Amino acid sequence: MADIAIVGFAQTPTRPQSQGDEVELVQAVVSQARDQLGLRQDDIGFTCSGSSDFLSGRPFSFVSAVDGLGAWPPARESHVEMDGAWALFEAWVRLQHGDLDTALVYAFGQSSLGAIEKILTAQLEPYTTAPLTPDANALAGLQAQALLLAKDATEADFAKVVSRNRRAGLDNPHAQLRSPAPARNQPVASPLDASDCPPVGDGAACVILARGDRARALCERPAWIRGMDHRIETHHLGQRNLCQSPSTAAAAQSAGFDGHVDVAELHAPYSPQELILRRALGGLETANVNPSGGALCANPVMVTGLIRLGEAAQAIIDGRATTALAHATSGPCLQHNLVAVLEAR
Amino acid sequence: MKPLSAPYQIDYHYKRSLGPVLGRFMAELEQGQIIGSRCQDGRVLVPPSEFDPRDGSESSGLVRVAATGRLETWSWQPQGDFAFGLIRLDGTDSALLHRIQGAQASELHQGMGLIAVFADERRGQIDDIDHFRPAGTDEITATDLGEPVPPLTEDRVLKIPLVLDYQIRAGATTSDFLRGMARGEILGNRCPQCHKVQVPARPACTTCSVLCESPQILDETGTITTFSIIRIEFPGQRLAPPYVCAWILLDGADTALLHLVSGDPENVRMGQRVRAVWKAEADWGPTLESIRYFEATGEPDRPFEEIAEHL
Repeated sequence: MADIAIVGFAQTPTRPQSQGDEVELVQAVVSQARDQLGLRQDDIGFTCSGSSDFLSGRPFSFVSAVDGLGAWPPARESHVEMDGAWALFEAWVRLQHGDLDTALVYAFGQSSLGAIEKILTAQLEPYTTAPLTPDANALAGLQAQALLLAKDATEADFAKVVSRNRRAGLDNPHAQLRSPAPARNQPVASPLDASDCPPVGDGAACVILARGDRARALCERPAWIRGMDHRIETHHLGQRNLCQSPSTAAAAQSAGFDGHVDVAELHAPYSPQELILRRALGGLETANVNPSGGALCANPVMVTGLIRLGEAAQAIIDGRATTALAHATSGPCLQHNLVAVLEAR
Repeated sequence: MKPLSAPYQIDYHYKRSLGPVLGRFMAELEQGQIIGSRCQDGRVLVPPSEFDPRDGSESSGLVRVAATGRLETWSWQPQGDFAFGLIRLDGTDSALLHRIQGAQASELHQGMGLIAVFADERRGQIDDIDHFRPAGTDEITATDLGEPVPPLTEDRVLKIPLVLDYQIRAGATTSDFLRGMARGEILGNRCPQCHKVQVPARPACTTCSVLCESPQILDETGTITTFSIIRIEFPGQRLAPPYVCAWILLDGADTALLHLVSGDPENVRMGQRVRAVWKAEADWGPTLESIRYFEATGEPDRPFEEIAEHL
């Protein structure tokens, strides 16, 4: 594997309703990421974005978002209809070729334009699952109940996850929820309380990658990618053990995770999912997990995973960590999981 | 000012071809029966699958299964009267997602016996099972699997509508442009870096990726750069074919605007000079349709070299 590092990160604050449209979100965050490294768009070798047309209801909305990038001279550009973490994966693979030494990855999403829990239903298996219209909360509720029934966790454990993330979010100016965890008195989809569920918000993020000497020139302390992989499970919920995340465990092993990192940023939109991820990752007892407050404090859908990579990298760039793990998820009940291990060298 | 906002709906009616396995599953549901697929290692999956999701090996056949099963996990829904649950049908090795009704939230428990309640009117879809309800002990009979069932040979198509509602918002600059249309003004804006004027006004220069200056009012006259004659009918058309759709380079602008051109399509030319014809002022709104169309001014055409850069 080539030496490739995250050298820059920018994000918008996540807000219930962004004032700008997608182009304005992208322009703001991409400019900030490039400007802080002194780069222009034509310095960037490869550009890749992650978003979902279903969030805005407009086919090919990602094409118009390119207006925020300034794609002239014509950019080498690609897009994934997934969280921006997978766009970062594509950019990392692209940089392995060796002919390019920088990549820019961005993600944007406005969950506020539609009913996000219902929009997420459209990603389900279309013949026997989606027509029943279980929304995202209902499916996360099934998973939470399965954990309780297996005696893998209690509702008090869920509350602890919420409480810890919300406390961390107090210090994150980009977080949407910046208040301590409320009392558990708002049932959503049993056994989930409203506080176990992510806030609905809009946002964008941008990460810049560079190879070898270029990374060292752009950044004093690059967050080198030791390894990265993503694995997926069947889309039939009834054929999975919802209490476990074998795809996370396999991705982590392949990414070179040895059980110890200083910081871990986990993409767990629902509090019980953090418990499942921690177990799949061997506990993470010594790690500072979600110092950003995680997805429970800010969940701009399609961006949340890329923010995990950005936050984990920033901890290394700033000298707050020597090793970090970043995780992103996609699909219902942690169906698809990406793990990256980052390190200072 | 707040960005403009409007309700918006997408309404796609997908027709999905089911194939021999899901096709048989839906055909059996229509008959009030449930089938599963048998994997090569003997496991039985419901809903049936053409392949074993563990290793991709082809399923070895289809088999009728019981309409009774056990509750594995559930989530009571805030609407009040039902839960979603994963139900393992008797004799099978995977769970089916469905609705559970006829029980209180507090009565649900792991391993609870449930039975499928079929809808009176069935159309060969998963909703042919209306829901599952608690089963009496006498209703849970044999857990043996039934007889083998052949795959479906004829093609079966399932119509699955996807309807989603949105409240879309234009960005700040696009809102400025659209509000301009409601005042009878065409707004563009200039890039501070390359000095080109874009129309419609956009938040950022699409070339330089820097924020543009405040919008300015542009001339209503311009030049056709290129055009197409629409000769076919399609839903949503405003004019009867044949009519012309053209890129129009407004005077003082560097990007062209797409609009309609009136008159005999055979007379329309690249380089032709045109001007905007607005609707009656009472009919202006935040839309490009405030301009009815563009019409020829009769001025001499601009030479090709002057528009070549804008094609």
